[in-house]
Amino acid sequence: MRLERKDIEDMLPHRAPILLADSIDVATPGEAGVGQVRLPADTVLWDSWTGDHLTDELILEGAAQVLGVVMSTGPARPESPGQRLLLSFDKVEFHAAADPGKDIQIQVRVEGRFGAMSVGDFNASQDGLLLAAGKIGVMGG
Amino acid sequence: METISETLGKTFAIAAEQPVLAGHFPGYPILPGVLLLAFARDTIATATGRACRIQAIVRHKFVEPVLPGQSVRVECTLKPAADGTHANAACRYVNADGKLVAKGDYQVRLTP
Repeated sequence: MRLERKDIEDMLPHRAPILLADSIDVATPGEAGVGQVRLPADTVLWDSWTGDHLTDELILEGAAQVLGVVMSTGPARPESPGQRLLLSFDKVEFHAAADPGKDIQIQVRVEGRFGAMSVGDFNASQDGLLLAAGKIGVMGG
Repeated sequence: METISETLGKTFAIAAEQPVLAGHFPGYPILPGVLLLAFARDTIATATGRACRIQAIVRHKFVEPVLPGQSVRVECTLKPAADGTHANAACRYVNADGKLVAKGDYQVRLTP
């Protein structure tokens, strides 16, 4: 199942300049998928910080967005966007620095559900080069 | 080799006019949690005079959402490694009431 930007907007409350996921291919609904993420490289996000100043942070944000959308394609979809909260990052390693002008591929998989909390694995790459990998914890679904 | 820990701090005002808040989220702005990591990098870079990249997040927990109008004080204890370019950073993030909003342990790289 391929989700385009409009589908993603139906599932996430994020909007420009921080809606980063452009499209997502859901491999297993509710469980796994791969997103195409584009960073707002030249856009000022905070004070004088543009997207290319925040590439590592935005990779994490993109991974959380892709995970949230993939989770929303399963039976535990929240009734309205925004009902999932980011809880944690664990065992995240950053490798190569991202080129903010190119798309980033982010693969996610739900690793486990523990009551209201879920944990997902992610890895982010660009042109086959690993940028970052780790675990994300979210509340809800 | 013995290393010396030092504690660094910096306060960030969360102004409602910050561009990122327009999209996070329309109608109910909340500071994107990942910005806290950038605050930690900036705190360490300002205090050390060196560029800082977080190379690994050992763990990072979000405790409370941060809203426009609030401020966040970042306090990091930095323990440099013997090589002079890496360090372990334990950071806590508190609001103006002294309430913990997040905390994290990181490995960072410092470059001139």
